[in-house]
Amino acid sequence: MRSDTCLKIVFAVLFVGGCSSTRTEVATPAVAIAPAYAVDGLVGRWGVASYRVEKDRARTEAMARTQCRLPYVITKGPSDGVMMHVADDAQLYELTLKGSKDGKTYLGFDAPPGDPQDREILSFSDKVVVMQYANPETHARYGTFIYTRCA
Amino acid sequence: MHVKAYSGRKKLNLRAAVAFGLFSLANGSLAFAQAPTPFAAQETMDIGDEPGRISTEEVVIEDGPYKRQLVSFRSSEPAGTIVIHTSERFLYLVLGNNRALRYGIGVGRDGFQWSGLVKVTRKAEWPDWTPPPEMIARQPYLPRFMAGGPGNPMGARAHYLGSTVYRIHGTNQPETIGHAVSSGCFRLANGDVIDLYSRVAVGAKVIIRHAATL
Amino acid sequence: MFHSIRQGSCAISIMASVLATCIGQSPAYASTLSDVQKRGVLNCGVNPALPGFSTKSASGEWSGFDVDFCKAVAAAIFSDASKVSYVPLTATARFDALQKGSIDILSRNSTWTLEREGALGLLFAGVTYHDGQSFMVVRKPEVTSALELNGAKICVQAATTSQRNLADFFKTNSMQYQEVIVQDAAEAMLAITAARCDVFTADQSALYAERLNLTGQKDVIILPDVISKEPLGPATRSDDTGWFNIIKWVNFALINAEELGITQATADAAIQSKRPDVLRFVGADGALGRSIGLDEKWAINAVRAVGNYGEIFARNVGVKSRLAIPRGLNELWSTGGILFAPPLQ
Repeated sequence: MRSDTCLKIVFAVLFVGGCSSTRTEVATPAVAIAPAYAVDGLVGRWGVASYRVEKDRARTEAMARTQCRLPYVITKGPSDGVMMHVADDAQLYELTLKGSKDGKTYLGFDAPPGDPQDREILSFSDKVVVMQYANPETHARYGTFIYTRCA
Repeated sequence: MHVKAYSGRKKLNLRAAVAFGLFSLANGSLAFAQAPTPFAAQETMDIGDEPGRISTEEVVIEDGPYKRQLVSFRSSEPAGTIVIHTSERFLYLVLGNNRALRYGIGVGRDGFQWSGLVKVTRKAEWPDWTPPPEMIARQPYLPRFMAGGPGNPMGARAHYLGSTVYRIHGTNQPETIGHAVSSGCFRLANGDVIDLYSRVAVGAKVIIRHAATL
Repeated sequence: MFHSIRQGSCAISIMASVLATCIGQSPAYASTLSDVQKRGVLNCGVNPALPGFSTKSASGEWSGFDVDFCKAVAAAIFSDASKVSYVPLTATARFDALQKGSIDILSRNSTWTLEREGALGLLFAGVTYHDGQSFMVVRKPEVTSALELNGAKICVQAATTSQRNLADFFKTNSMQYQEVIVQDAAEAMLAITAARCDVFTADQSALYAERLNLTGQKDVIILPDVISKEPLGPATRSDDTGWFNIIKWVNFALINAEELGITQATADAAIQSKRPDVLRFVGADGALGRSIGLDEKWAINAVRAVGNYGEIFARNVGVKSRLAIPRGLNELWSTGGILFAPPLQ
């Protein structure tokens, strides 16, 4: 077990190391363009659930709708963003929507779109927003998030 | 304009920093609130029930005391009964004839709150996970519901105990086996909980025992 | 404070010996306790080298399951676990050393038998470790019981009680086996690796130690079956029942501490417990220690020095050690084993 764990830690560290180096390389080419959606559309109270396998998607969306007793509350930030969390961090940050040249929309810090700490918006409507972490390792752990707006 | 790009956050979820006194509110856990003990493995790992690294079905504890093994165990309970010794971090599946299969477990704060007899009321493969509100308060970035799967902290199998919130479940963090962890109930490595699942029937008795405390 | 306690206990032991003389006990009443107290150090006979039980580090520090028992006795007497002089003894020299008085106790993986008490003039103060002959099985992951070993090739050391026990067990259970005689455990491990035998039988504690040498081998199982009784414990001379009682009750105290939930880490907090049995243990309530010639803190001092029985087991031979021997019979009577200590009352 121990060596197994060590191995994992080594992998994880390598992975994290890989991320940060990618980030500096990518920093120049990716240019933010206007996002496809208005960031204010995220403000409000949401039921949040996640899934990994497509067969769980409908069920997960239904579960998200039942989570409004413990809603995830998104407020407007001091600048032009919204106050939300990033993965594995209990602190609130101001995040915003960013468009990328390949037509994707990301939610994250004021960094080039597709930054490892970003989320990619998969679909966006007034009632349901679907997103996933851009970092594949984080995505593998958390799965795809479905936000359903609480009444 | 925007807040500064946030960087430098370590993504590794292993918060193995040891936090003492975490159990001081839990019943029957004074022994673990004392610090420092000379036995590192008895320390509480401040590790959340996070959607951590992926642990597949194959992961079992491969050596050492927490490896699944046949041991001598005198018990008047019928074969098929589960006896959990929380302070020793062992789960015994009584086989009769003075022997038991012993599994190493991790015990969360919830696992120290209750002792007594319950029954396995339900079993589930790759169970869904609904983090309790206290955990959401500590880790507000968690989804309120996570469909079952390899990254899910409930792991590969769950045995639901009575009508309580307690479960014997798998884990996506096998390195927590043998430790007290800050959340969750009784967790086994996924390969081990799959093995247990195949041997335990709904209706089986589960006896949970803590060591005496001052 | 320490000084006055010692004086008190001396006075009591003198009174006790006067009393003993008055009521006509053995005129040659030997007080090992007062000898030890005068000397200021406990002479403890130990194994020169047995992993988990008694080993000496390069820097000269002794440690192990049997060594911790010596420390517990010293802590009970002196409130100081370091006041031990360790006397390494071979198997042949051990009982002689005790009889001649060159050691005060023998804490050296010795089996309690009738012969040793009857013929050698020793008293075993109790069982600290229930050992017994068992089986290590390789390449047969399906085997869960010694009763499934019919036809197995079994390695056993020549001219040992293990060889006789093995024959008896198979005969009793109407089974056959192929005996493969080896000279020592090292040869047995070679024979197992070379598949000359699939099973090795010896005392369970020895099997766990040998298993550490079989790292490359898959499917190594040590069966929970125990086919012989090897109760190991500390021994004293039989002419000093007062001393014998002290050793016996130190063992009981360590077991009771586990049952009561008193650990090395909680020894200081125990004094504030609300439970009467815990308060008796720490000496806050009653004067049990004085009745055996020690101060009232004897029991808690032993636990403070080395921990309770479970901690001693875990650290030296159990889950916290390389041996990782399951508690098995050495669990408390209340948790699946047979360890039972009379109450400290």
